[in-house]
Amino acid sequence: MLIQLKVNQTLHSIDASADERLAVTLRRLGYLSIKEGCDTGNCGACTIHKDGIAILSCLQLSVMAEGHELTTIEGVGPEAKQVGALLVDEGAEQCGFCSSGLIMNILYLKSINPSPTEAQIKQHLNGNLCRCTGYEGQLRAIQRYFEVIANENC
Amino acid sequence: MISIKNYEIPSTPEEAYRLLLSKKSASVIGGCAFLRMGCKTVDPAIDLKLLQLNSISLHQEYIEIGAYVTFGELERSELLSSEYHELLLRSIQDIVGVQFRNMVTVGATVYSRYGFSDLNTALLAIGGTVHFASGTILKLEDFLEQGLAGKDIVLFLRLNRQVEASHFSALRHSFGDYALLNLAISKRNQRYRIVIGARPQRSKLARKTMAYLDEAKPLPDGRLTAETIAHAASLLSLETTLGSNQLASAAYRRLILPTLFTTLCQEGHIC
Repeated sequence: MLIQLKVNQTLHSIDASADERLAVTLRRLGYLSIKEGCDTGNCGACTIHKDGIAILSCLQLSVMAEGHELTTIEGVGPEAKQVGALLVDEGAEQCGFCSSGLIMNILYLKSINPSPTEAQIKQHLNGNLCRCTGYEGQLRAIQRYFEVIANENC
Repeated sequence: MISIKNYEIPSTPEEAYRLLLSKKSASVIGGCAFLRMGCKTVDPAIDLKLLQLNSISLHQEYIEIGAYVTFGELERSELLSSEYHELLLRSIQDIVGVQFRNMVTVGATVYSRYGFSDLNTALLAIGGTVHFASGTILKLEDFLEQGLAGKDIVLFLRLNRQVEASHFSALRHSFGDYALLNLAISKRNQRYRIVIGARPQRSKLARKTMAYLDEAKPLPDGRLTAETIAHAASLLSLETTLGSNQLASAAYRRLILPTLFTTLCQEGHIC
């Protein structure tokens, strides 16, 4: 079936089966930031925004995403680079497989809670798993990011 | 992997219900949380997105929650948090991750009557009715216990109001995992509702323990004595059927249940 997907403000028409998952379709459209890490919705590597809300593209049928605004990390370049630079700075980047999903979830956190506590950061990021870093560097980077945001807003 | 042969988007509940009954393989699509963990063919898949089932609304006697409301929307609802003292929030905030919760729907959780469901335990502690596309209306405790004779579609829930106090607790091996036991308690019109779930059987009311607490003599401030709570904990353990699964044995569940209940009462400040 032919479906229309609006991704990063660009409208795409693509032929997809009714059970094709959004992660697969987005990668077919060239959005290679989408990674599938677990098959069960636990790792968060495939996180995108649907109408500004973080979801797992690996568990979303593409046909259900029709009519919605989808955002991948390719569509939030400057903001993603800002977070990514801090992750690198704090040694929180090794293989990079989890990073795009993590960054998308951090940007979602910023949209719903611009000054989270450490406990709130940890709670929010339960849905993003990393096999490489042990999370300490990520936590430092994220806390620095929210400090930077707070200073920018002053 | 679940495979879908045809995809339908009905405009009315009646049309959705007709589609569901049209074939044995027809199924309503919810949040698709188990999309990668099943192995069946769905034909047709029925998407209810045009039926406007994604709202939470306040009415004089009840709060109505549409079947397509997600766990994320429950979590962020200030109305539900204040009305039910964060009971629903506590029951779902540890489930997997925020992205997952932004997809799982209330209707699919209730309809599936999963034994591991934390939300069903919390909803049952509040009490209310489940409304189906066929026109059937059932008390939540009856539906969770008996199910339905045939296929149907949950349209919305209507939850009781005037809950004076409530609390939820669950024991898990690790954060984000299924609970190996969950408990919820509420007080409404001076009467208690105690629900135990993930036994691993489905959530159910602990009626004997509820009856005991309803008759128990409270302290002048309305709270119950430590002796009453201890006796209620042992009653709860006696009246509840517990089973074994890969998370825990029945014996382990029986050992921790009284402590979980006592802690729940103390933390919830409602006993």
